[in-house]
Amino acid sequence: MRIKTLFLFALSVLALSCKDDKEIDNEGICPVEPSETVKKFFSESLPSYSTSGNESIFNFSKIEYGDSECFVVNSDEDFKSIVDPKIQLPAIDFNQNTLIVGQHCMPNSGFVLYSQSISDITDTLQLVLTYKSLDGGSADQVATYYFWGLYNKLPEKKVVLRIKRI
Amino acid sequence: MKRVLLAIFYAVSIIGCQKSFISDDNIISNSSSHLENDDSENFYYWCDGKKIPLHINRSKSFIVFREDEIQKDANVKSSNSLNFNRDNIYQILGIHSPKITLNNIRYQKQIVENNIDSGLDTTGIDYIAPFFTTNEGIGLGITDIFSVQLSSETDAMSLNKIVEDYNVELLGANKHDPSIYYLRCNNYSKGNALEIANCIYESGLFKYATPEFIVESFVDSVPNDPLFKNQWNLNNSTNTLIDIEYIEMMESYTFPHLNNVIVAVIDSGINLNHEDLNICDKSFNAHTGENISNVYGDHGTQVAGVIGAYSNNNKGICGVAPGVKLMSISLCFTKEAERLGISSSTTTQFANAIRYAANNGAKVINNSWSFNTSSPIAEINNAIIYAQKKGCIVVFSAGNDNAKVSQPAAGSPSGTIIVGSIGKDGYKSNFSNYGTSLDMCAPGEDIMTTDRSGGYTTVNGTSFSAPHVAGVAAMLFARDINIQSNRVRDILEQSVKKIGQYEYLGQDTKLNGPWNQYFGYGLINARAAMDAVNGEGPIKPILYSYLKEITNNDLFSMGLDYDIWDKVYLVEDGVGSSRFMIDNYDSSTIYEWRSSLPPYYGVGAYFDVSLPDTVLEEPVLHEVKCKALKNGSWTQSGLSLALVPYNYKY
Repeated sequence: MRIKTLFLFALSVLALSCKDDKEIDNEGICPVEPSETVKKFFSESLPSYSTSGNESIFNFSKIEYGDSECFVVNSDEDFKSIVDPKIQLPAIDFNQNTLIVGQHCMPNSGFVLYSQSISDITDTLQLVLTYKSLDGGSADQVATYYFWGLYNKLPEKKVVLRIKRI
Repeated sequence: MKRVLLAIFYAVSIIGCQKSFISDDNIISNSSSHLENDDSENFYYWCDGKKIPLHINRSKSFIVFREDEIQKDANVKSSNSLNFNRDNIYQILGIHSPKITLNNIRYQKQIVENNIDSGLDTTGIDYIAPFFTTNEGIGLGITDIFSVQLSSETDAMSLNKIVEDYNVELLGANKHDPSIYYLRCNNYSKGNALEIANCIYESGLFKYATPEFIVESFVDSVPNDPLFKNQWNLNNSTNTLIDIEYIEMMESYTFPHLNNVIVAVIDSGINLNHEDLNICDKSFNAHTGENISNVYGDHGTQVAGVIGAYSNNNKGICGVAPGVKLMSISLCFTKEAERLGISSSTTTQFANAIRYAANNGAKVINNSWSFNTSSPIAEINNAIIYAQKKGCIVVFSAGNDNAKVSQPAAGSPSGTIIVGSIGKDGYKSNFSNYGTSLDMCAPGEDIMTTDRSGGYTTVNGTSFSAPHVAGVAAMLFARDINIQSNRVRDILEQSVKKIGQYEYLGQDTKLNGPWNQYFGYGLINARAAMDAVNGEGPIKPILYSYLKEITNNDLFSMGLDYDIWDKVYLVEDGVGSSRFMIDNYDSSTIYEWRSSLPPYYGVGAYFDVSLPDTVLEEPVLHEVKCKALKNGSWTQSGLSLALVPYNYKY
């Protein structure tokens, strides 16, 4: 009995030590590591959020709280179509990759994107964006959050967005 | 038209003749410029011990006619006409026990344009004064009324000297502050209200002396601010039922104390150089403790613009309380802290911000922020109570989660006003928080406002709903500087529009009328709120409510409605009981409550006052007593309060 109890205890400690938050949230297909050029392009052209309309180079629509917009990019032509045509775009191998770029609204700007992943659910792809709340006070101003991720080539299905807060 | 010519003639004559009051008068010229020469040396008024320059505007004059002596002259072109009789004047000014006999003379006050043809008709003109423009381009008419405040009660004799020296009428004392007196000029006085007020102030015998202004923005139907057309929140032409009646407020009322009202904006800091904002001299960085605010983010300037952007200055937008003094108190929100690589402001710093505002003259404190917590924040609640005890109106946004009202608003002390958002169509904004804590709603979608860069932007959120309520609260103070803050809150909550698709029902904890969880009492109504100050409109006679800490064996005060209520605030967890007596009638009912969460307040009890169901002609004094039980021991307190019939005119 004593040995059995100790064994169960050790097992549970082992299980807890292996399971960090990130693993819990990333139950799905995670984005691939993009090139430095791609990372630089997005860090310079797509802010993490905006409180006063579209401040990015992307052709986003005006959305309201509760709405979202998601561009699923599978070719250079697709990529060009969602960006101001004067912009020099970084090279992405769309034979191997799918790029997802989008926007949605949050109650305020006191959140940071913690993780993202895609789950293939029969006829749709579910993109799960997990946000972490920052401690402290935040202005009660609706903020549009922008996101992007480069994935291994995804099946041509509609992407549905799901926002999680932790 | 003849009368208008006369106005010009009079204006020139009076100004020309008043060199004893205004030296080096140089206004008689043929120039048509509104801001010609540097006449600000000669024309000014005093505010808070400072000379505020004025520029003469020859295109207009301010005239008062006696209606009993004039026939209607359709040719008089006026941008505004305000009808008063003396009763109205007393009521508007809050004058108690007027010193002169009411004679029911009706006066018509007009701002007239000086585009004359010919002819003279002096009939009925009782007073005339030039028209001015401020440095900000705002038009100011000087009415026939001015007020003075005695340095001490023993100075009352000085008033008689003023009356004799300047040949003016003493109208009476302010009912709230008997050290303030109102006086009136006419054609036979030795100067207009501005000139006489300046002379009196400069004599050093009085605390202040100031003329009553009519601000041009308040008389023009639509302000000339170029972006006003985008401000559906102030003029909802597509759905007038969802309009906050801002234009109607501006058209109907004057705000003589606007310069003395400060609204504190506890936020990320205001751009102190934004040309469309009137920034208070005092500011504070609650994050660092420095006596000048910082700009940590965009939000503070955006909130400030909704509250108080100048109107009729040909620039940008128009605020709810245009030109009100905005006190910038800066804090660092989480996102800005992350961006700047510093720590965000703590609850102590937020609490200190509220205390600073209360200690430095703010009448209204706007808080468009929340914390990511589900528990009340005692430190901030204590600061709110501190501010409320100092007479401040504390306004909070409800938050944007489409869920229960955020903290600290949700757990804030009774008396805090929590505001949710609606859109142009009158529906609750899909982000706006709701629930039992919500008090009222205001526009919060597609709100055009000032931005940090000095320009303008469009924003969304309950952050921008709260400033509408803060702005109207400021205008109530601007109308009656001595109005009690709990009266302001009651007026705001009772004068709302019952909009939306949800039923409004009576709630035990909601004292100011039918309520629902999505709109609170309803949509802020600026015009109806001002009507209420004047004793017009459907406002019940509310007796002031009080909030007082009680400790063991100590007693609390109470708030009263037609129903007698107490709002109990305990300093610690405990059981409280209460029982009322009015005019020696004992309710004999003991009401008990238990509160275990800070700030330990709650509705303790109420019972119907068995007053006769008649219209009160005069205020009636009642003696109200309350017994309270806190953890075992009874104590007792007495309080005499008046029921004042609504529409009662002093």
